[in-house]
Amino acid sequence: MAVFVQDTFSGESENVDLTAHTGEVGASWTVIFGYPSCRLSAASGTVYSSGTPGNGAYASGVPASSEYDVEADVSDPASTGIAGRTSTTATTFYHARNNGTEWQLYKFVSGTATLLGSYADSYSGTKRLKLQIRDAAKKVFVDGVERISSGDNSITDAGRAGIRLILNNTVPRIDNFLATDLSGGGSQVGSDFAVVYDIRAQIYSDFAAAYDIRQTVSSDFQTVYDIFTSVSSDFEARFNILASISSDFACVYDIRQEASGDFEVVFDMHQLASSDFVTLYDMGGRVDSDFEVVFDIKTQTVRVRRSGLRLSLGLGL
Amino acid sequence: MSKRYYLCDILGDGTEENPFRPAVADHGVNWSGEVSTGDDGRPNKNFALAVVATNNHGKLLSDSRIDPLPEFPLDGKISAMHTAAKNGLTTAMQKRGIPTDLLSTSDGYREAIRGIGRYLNPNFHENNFDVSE
Repeated sequence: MAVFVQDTFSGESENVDLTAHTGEVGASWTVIFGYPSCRLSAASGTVYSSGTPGNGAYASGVPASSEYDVEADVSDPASTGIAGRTSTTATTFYHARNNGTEWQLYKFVSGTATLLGSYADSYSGTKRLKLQIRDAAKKVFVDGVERISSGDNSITDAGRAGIRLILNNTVPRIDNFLATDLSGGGSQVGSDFAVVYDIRAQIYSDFAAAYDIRQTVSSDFQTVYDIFTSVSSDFEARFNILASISSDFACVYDIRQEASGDFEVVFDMHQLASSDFVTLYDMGGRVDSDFEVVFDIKTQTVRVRRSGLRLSLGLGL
Repeated sequence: MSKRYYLCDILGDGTEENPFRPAVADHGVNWSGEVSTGDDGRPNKNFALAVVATNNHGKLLSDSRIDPLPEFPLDGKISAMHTAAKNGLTTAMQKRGIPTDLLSTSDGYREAIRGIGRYLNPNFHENNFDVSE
């Protein structure tokens, strides 16, 4: 992931217009077509409304493609949000916000508003709001939890990342703005890639491992989870495989004690696996809650046991 | 809390105060909707597909602008539905002008939902159409 906009909205005098401010990365701001601008609070280093409802601005940073994430801290009072695929010539964008009673996902096309989804939650304090923009789905996350997912893709231009404040309220409400695209993320791993988790003491909370693989895996890829004791809460391993795997891919889960929460492994495979793909779950203990393994294979596998997918379950109950 | 699919009218005039939205949006439930729009952002169909997560589907069932689709496992076979539920699905689709031939070309409820979604959005996929409970 590469950051193409970052702004903490700090270092300015009180009540400076956002368009006169420059943030850390790709963050010179322009008002969204037809909207008034926003202002900055010097005391808190945040953005607030300028006195007229419906403020909005987009940042100068250009994403590498039309698929990217936009996120920011948003604080009550509500009706504050973030935008993506924001047009520089029209009032067109996707928009995530909370209106005081619910999180909402909107699309605005040439100023015409359509509500695409909502999740009831009258929050207080500060929340981390993320709008994940992919062609296949627009997702709203609140504090890392997915709340709304829409397949709408009627706005296709990459546009820009932006912010929007609906109510006229001078209370600071947006901070730590960040936009990341799918470029970068390191280069190819040319040799074997092995990860071993040799965990001999209890894990008292959630265990999560995420592998976001965006380049070709041309040699062996192996992960081993050798967990000798219990996991007291959820266990999650996620493999977001966006590139092809041309060699062997192996995952071994050797869990000798109980997992007290949910056990979830997700393989989100967008590309070809042209060699062996093996996962082994050797569980000596028990899972007290849900056990879920998801293989979301979005493209062809060269050979799946020649004639089909074989699933073997050996449950020592 | 359970999830259920609905076909429903589209409300609103496209302003921020009264945005276009599926009728389920006015019932205080968690929902995601597929609303087909044209280049001007205005709906080009008079109905939406919605998935709703709530403890109380009753208030939706009593709204004449909202047609429930069968409460049935997504991976279930339509041939395994009760006749009344199957007829309800067919009637709801016919009411909205959705071709029902997809019900005869595939037996899966998932494929039926996908077919309805793709009538509104060619890129629709049920796995990307969701709301949190």
